[in-house]
Amino acid sequence: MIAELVQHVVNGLVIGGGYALMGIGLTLIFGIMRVVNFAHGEFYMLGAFLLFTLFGTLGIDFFLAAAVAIVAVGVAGAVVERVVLRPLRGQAIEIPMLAMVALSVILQNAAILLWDPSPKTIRHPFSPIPIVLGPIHIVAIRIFAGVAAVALIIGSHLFIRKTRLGKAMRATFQDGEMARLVGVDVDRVYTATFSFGAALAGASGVLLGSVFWVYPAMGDQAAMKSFAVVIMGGLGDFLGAIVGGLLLGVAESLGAAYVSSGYKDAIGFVVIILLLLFRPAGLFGRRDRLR
Amino acid sequence: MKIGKSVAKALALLTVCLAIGGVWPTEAQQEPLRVGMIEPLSGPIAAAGSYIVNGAKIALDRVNAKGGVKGRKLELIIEDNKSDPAETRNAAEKLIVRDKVPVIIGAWGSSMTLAMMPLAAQHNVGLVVETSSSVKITDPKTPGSKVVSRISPTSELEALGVEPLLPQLGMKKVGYIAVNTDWGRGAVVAFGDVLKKQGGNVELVEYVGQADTDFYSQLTKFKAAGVDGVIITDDAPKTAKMLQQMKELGLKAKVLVTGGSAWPDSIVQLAGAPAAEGVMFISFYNPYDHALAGDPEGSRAYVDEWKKRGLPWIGVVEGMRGFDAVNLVAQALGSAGDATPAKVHDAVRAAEMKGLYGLIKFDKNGQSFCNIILTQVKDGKYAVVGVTPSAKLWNAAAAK
Repeated sequence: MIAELVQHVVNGLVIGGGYALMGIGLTLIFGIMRVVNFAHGEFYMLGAFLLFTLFGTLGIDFFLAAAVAIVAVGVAGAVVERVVLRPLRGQAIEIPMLAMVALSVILQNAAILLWDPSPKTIRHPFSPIPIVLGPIHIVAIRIFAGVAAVALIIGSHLFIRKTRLGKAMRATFQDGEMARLVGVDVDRVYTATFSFGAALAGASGVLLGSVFWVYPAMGDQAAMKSFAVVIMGGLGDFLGAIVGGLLLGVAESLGAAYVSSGYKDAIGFVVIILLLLFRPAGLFGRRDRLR
Repeated sequence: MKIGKSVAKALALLTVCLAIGGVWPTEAQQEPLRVGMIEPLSGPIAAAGSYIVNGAKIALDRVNAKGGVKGRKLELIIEDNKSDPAETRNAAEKLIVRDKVPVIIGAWGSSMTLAMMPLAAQHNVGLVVETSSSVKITDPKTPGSKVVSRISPTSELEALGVEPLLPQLGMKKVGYIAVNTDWGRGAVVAFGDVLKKQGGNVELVEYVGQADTDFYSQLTKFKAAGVDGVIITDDAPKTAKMLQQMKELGLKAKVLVTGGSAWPDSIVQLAGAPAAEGVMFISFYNPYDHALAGDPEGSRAYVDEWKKRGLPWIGVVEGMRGFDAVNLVAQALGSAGDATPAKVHDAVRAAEMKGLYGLIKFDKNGQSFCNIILTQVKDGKYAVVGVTPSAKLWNAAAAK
């Protein structure tokens, strides 16, 4: 019984790490830019497909290919900010939102044309034979995905806390006008934020794409989950996104195991409804969230 | 002058009428016959839908190469249902109202097919159902079932077809994992019944979402319960993931995969040979054994063409459904007096055709009985365990 429970929690944490990465990217973009990024799932998909092409098709080393894929998604994010979002800045919130919906449709269909809709497996270099710890089975790729997610989360935290650009991002989050007055290049901050958020989604796609598989519509569900994570954590709340992501992963895993797997996706949303009933401003319910 | 003017007017009117109605006798012959097709071409099951369209196009090109139907070119208007029942209904409405097609082929998933049936029945447009296997679709009590002609088997027929072969599977305590749709839910009932008759029992049933990729929770439960058999009803990619994850979790059990969409070659490719070894599948078509198909000649031509076009080999068994559906529709359009929906539907229902599925003809509920083949991955290769030919199922039904 206990062993089964531990296995469910471990499973949930690994998936939750991926959700958290997605959530951080989405919450940063919303918190700083006030852009609801409906194309977030497509950056996730793009990360996975780039890894598939670089590693699976071109035969580049797995870890190098993963890094290149993440950076490339970041560059794609910067281009999108510069070309699509910047001209729309200052418009009502739904205008860039609609642009992102359009981008999502375009990217997903482009992926169908480029890579065809059949699911692809990334033949990662990790052994498929599980590591057995007593009654717990876990495969190396999942450990790698979990550890890498934690490393990326800590890295993102340090980036925002310690670097000059990170500080500029936080300043812009608190008060864009004021930040501009004291000399922060807000345009640059916006480009960096969107690029960084997209790269995190891409990283999540690289990790979960390696664990599961890669196909053009994979972003749909991932995007839905990351919206759930962000709402749970509080819009713009960095720490909230991390805890929300892990919580959603574990809640789904336990819910599927002990309640009903047919309602797995619903369970996450029931958690959100409960949370919003009791903590309407998110898990931590703070106003100045980008900490 | 006056007469000249009215003649000119009449001529102009006639030209307009002809342009609108398109009733030039020569043009009428050249006007292509358009048939509707609805498949999932985006969304989580887009791969399966694209294979069916590939198969349909092979049949279409063969029909047109032989001069089309009654001298007219056959054309497919293909719509994407985005793997979604509501979108399927929208696509059907577009095909019926705007394109005025006399018959629609579709729509892969049972829930999707069920969603468009009432609308099709309202307009009396026949549906040729190529993949869906929910029992509900040909149940006379279901709204819209009167316009259905289904070439794919029901889950009940699948279960019936493998019943004689089941004892050798040796499953007693079964965990059932199925997609949470009309297809999955129907199959759980059908196979649960057959299993019970043989002294086995479905101890645990787990439903999974159409876009799910992680099945650790469900499989961990199976492992904890100590099942000796697992039955899977889902599409090929998800089945592959389930088998991989069974291996990862150290869940050892005999596995049977129903539904005909997953087959040895696709699972060996998607899951890898170690995870696929020993797994059994219910198939309706064997691309290595043309003699088994109702139409061996057609089967050979189909497989050759599939390879020639460089299509993914793992889709060849799914693509067969589209191939048979288009051939059936072409035959019915040829024998129907004219291409009105009602006449075409009657012609489909009256048709008897040797296809890749087996002998295709329809009972009073519009159901056809196909070959049921039990296949297995043996040493990483395709192997046949046993066959129940469609003729035998027809005889059994007639005896009843």
